[in-house]
Amino acid sequence: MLTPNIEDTDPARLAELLPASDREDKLWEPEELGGVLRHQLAAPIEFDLGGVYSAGTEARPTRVEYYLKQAASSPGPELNSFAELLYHPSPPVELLRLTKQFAKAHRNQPHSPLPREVSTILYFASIAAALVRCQKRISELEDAALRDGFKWSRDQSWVDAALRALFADGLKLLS
Amino acid sequence: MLTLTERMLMPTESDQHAESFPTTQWSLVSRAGKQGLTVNSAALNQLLIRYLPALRAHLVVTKRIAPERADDLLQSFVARKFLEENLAAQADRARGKFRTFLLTLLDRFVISEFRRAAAKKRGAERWSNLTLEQLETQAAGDQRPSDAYDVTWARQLLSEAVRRMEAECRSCGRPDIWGVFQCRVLEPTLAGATPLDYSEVVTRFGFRSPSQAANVLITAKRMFERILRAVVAEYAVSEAEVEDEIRDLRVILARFGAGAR
Repeated sequence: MLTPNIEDTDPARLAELLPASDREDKLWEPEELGGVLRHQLAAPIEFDLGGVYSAGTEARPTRVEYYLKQAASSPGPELNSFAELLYHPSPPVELLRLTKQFAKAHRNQPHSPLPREVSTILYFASIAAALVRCQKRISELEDAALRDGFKWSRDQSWVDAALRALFADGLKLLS
Repeated sequence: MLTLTERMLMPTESDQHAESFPTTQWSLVSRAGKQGLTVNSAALNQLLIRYLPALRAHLVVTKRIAPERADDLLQSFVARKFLEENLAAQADRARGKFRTFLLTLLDRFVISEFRRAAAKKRGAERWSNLTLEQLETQAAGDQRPSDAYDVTWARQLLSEAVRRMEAECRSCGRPDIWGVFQCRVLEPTLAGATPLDYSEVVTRFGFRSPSQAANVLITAKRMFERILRAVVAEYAVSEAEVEDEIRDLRVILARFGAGAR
């Protein structure tokens, strides 16, 4: 397999190899975003949320373990990955809050390993899950902003059916 | 006999260690210039050599200097400005980016060579289709680099990043990352090829599943971005300047590409 010659390539094509600072570039195709999202949803919560906490929350790394152990001792499905958290019938709301913070931090970080689109989905999914499964509002965003976020998330072609259903359910609960 | 450029391109013992020349930083050059210190001139020269094609494009396209004469001028420029004179002593961050600074140095050098040749009646007027006055006016005017210079610079930058990515994949025993990057990113982007289907990627590289292939592609893209930033960081002084430089080159490439069609 020969690598195409950069010397002969149209500059416009070369531009696509340079990452855009706002991340709104064509670096990720929809199927790749779907792949990253699946990868993130399958990732262990404990690993990613272990270091997430802020002055505004009581949660600390040890609290993540506490909530996971509490969930493990309760009847119901397993709770290890982000997918299991989001689809759990009664997820610990604190873990959803931490997930929201985790996603928000990645969304605002220019060099985050997570594409901005994926962290945005995770951000709104945690809010929707808290609203739908726990009847709790964990975001200060107004309904209009949440509605836009849920709709945008639901309409992404690379988002799976279960998440779409979660966003659809969330939309029904907004005024 | 080897030309000066060829000699300078040959790896030295210190060059063969690790990833080329991590000690070459424009910030170090700038600091050394202010403090009267010496810098790693071999590393600095290598940085210059990488971007010589951009300087050549500037001489040939913008200054309309004949290619053979442009090569001679660049040889002299490298020898005199970077080997005999202390570049660090001339470095002044107030002059802006390394890319622009290099061009300013070259323009001044060309004018002084032009004058010198004219004084010796060596037919300086044959160097370029432009007169000395035109060259001086160009140099004194808008110092924004020409598209030919910037586009060639960007090509050199990307070539270096791609070269290092391939080397790193091989050295860490991950030819699969390089292979996936080639067939899913490089060939579609550079040659307009259809990206290899994930099921074919799985077969070709022996992955367990398409999702494993997708994860390897994600790793490859992150790796390329990291390496690209590292290449830029060798001549930028801060993370913000790296960001700015990448954005700038991206806009230039996109504009030039659109204009060329």
